[in-house]
Amino acid sequence: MSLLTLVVFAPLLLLPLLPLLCGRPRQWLVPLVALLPVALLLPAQPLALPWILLGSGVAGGGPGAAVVSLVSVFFALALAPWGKGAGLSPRVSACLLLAQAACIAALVATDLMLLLAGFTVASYALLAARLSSGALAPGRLPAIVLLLVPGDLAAFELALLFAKVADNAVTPSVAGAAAVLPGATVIAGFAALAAASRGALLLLVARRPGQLLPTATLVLLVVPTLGWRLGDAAGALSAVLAVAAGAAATAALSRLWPPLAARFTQARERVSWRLLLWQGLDAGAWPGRLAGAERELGSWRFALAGAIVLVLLLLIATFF
Amino acid sequence: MSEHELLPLAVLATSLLPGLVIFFLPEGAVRVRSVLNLAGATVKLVLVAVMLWGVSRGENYAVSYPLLPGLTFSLRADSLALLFVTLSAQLWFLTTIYAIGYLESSPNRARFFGFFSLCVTATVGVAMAGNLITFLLFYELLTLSTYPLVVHRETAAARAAGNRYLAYTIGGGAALLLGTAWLYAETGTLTFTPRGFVDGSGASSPVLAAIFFLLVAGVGVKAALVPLHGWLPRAMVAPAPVSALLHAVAVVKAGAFGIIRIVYDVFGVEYAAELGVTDALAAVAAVTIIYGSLRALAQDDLKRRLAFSTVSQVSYIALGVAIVGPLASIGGIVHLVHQGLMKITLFFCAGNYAETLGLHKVSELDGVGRRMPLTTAAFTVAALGMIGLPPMAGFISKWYLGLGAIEAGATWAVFVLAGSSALNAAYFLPILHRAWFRAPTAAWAPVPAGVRAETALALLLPPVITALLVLLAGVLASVQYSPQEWATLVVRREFYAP
Repeated sequence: MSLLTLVVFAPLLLLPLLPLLCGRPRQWLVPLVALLPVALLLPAQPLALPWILLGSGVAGGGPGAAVVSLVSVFFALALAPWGKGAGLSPRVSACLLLAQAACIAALVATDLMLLLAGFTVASYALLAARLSSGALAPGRLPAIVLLLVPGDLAAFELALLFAKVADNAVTPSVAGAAAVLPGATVIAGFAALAAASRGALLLLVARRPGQLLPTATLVLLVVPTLGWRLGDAAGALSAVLAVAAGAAATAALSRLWPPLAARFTQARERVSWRLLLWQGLDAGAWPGRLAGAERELGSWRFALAGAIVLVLLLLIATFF
Repeated sequence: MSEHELLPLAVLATSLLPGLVIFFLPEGAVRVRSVLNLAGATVKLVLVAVMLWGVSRGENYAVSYPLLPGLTFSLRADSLALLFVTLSAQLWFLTTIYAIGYLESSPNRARFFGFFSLCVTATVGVAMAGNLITFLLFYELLTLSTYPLVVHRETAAARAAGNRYLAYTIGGGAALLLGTAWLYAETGTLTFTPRGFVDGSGASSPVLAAIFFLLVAGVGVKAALVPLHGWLPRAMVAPAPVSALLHAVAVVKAGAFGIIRIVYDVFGVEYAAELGVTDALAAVAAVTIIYGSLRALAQDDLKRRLAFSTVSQVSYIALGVAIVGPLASIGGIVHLVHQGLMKITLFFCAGNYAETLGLHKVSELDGVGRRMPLTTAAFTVAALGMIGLPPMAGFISKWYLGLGAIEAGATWAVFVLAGSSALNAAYFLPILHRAWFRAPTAAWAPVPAGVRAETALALLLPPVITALLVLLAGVLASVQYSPQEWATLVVRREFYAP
């Protein structure tokens, strides 16, 4: 194990635990911890990590690292004590930092194993952050888990698909598989959609603005970056388009089928999505407005249906 | 006698001799019994490490004695045997520590630990058997030494479970004996050989297929293949260390290991595929995987839920073996170790909940994570591994099985794996939710005086250590001597040599 490897990755693995050790009075540490990957990623060269998973690697340095570092900067700003993150508990901060570390690992991975591992850990860390705060509406957890699991299966199938086109390599490289596979951009779009569907759901069920901002920042930055990692600029564009199309489709379904949407959602208040956009965000009124936004955008069941369709499409793409 | 002949016998003796001595110790000789157990387990670990190092460098450790005319008692520590022996030795050590803590005030401890040691001896014998007759001898010894452990509590339920266990396993043993005798009559040899010995023996294909099914039915009872699995959920009346032993170290694993030996070292996987028997085995394994998971969903009793989970998970090994190809073989063989680590963690944790707080049902676990955070953290790691989430050990197995299925053109197996993962999530994640995020329904019993941690250290350390091993086996899968690397060595050296 090289010293550089140790220096780069040990902090990424251990630092998310820092808020738990320091407690609430040291909250100014949280954004600093979130910023540290920038200092570590920018100068680092590409690294081979043969001892991680089945032999992984990370792409360090260059414009890629700069883009990924931006995620950290925005995320650190979102966690800053003067912002909405002022009221975060140490457990929630730790979970969010773990999600950030896992996202970065996924984004800089040169092989699909690390990408998949980072991607999964990030999803569950975000879920743990939500659960740790007690900010989840009753009965929503099964819905989220129902969405997370098909999302994981989709990601697993995607990795197998890449492995297949890379001649059954045990650890197919991201760039190699994307170059070989015709229509890699479309696949990148599917992958981003899988990420976005989970992230969006976590975003939509948020009940406290302090967590909403960092979560939103992370999800919104990670989705196009993931698309970019899988399929360059076209991948990023297709990821964004896929997310937008998915959101529009669920919103349209809700609009076209309001009685059904009303039955599925648990929201009591109805606040217009347009009102939410035009009047700005009032932290005190967020829970009700988010519930309204959720109704506007579509219930979790629509999102679940979308995830299941995604899994089926990936299976079809894999085998037929 | 050279060290290469002595070491396999010494590894057997490290559990056999303490076990025999323990039978004659008085019930109150707790300290002597514990020292004997732990010393035996430690010496076994050291000897296994020496053999592991030697085998990785190409050394051979084998010994044989004439048994009957034409038949020998043969022990051989090949790379596959050592994978299983290493697992058993490590987990025996931890289970012994756990059992010492768990059975602190239980009656008949001398009997328990005596048979416990015999059980491990039999398991190591099964692993190192150099031919089918030696395998059969230790396989039957395993049945007989496990029965007293299953009925240890001597309740009506325990006796009923023990009777059922005996009925199933003796029936399986009879099928194995019949298949072994028939095979010897047809081929004139029973020696395990890399890539099999039946091809070219002159026996007709239908006869060999019939022998294959007899042998697999024999070991399939212990491997809990549907419909031969009925004994396993009932055997959950046994104490938690016994459940851990049954599911992770000895009985179920011996059955799965037997399937590997029969397919690779008796028939040879390519010849078995030619006979068409691997397709049938794959179908049974797939049905077992889904059936076990579906039954687990409906169980409120935690140990029964884990038992049906074992029914499902052990068949991953059979599935990996039956999908003909090196990648799937690696997946199946490495799951032998990974499933053992994950399942023993889960049973240790279930035992801790029962022993410390009297909790036996999933519906009673609300908020237990706050009262027993380390135990619940260990349970969480193992459960996520069972689902197959990266970077846990279970993901590595699932990845190789998926790749192997695609490599062999068995795309249906990917659907089985995906379905099983979803079902695993459906019966494990609600437990985690209850444990971590629900409020307890009543105040917990206070921590007993003198206990510093959430429970006794002898109960707490084993699941924490095995949970760490689950994580390390996944994250460091490519490190030399990791289960995944060793499984790759086994497959390359013995099953699919160029």
